[in-house]
Amino acid sequence: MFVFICSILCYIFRYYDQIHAIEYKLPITENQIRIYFKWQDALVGGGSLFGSKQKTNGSWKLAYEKACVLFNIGHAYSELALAQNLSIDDQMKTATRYFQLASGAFSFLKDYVNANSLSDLSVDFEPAVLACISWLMLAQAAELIYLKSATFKGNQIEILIIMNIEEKKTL
Amino acid sequence: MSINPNQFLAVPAKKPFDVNISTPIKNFIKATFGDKEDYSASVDGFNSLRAEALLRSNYKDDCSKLLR
Repeated sequence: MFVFICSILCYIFRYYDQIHAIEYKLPITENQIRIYFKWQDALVGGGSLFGSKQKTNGSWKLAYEKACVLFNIGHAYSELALAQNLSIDDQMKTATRYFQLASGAFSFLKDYVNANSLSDLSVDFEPAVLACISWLMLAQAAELIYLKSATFKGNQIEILIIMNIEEKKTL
Repeated sequence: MSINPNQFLAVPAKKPFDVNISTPIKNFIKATFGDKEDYSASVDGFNSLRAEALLRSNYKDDCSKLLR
């Protein structure tokens, strides 16, 4: 599972690099190079209690494709963090790092979506949703640090000091 | 998804649909710059990179459905 996600992430990064390179070189818009990028939402919007369906949205903009790929990079990082075995110290540290990376990806995506006004296209790209996911990932990283420091034979104040140092590192 | 005793959460993925990106790009380059140089292999490579990067993750979901 871990190797599978890693190999996919490697390809996603290469693809993201390529999109980034051609973004300002090829005019992929509705009027010039016509490519319709279609994606299914990750999150369900609408607020129906009995399971509304995931919507499919599309756009002619390359920026939409780039944002979706970035969303999937964040997804892959969070899956990698879950794939770690938390009883091993090193892997716990890696999981913390992956959660922080996922948080960073979503936080960057929020700015990117705002700059390209993509937030109307999909419920995943609402700035509030992206901010929420970003903080959730950071909170999970902080929780891992707490879990680790809570196993030390120390009092609560020492744990708080460690948490404070780690928080300053991430922000 | 792996079962995690500490119940951490992962973000779900967005699912892409297959799209042919090579033909429109080739047409544009041909119309703008002519076809003196052979660039089609690179554009096809870009197209297959998209399939490899994005559509293979769908394959994982299909497998889990089959196993269920």
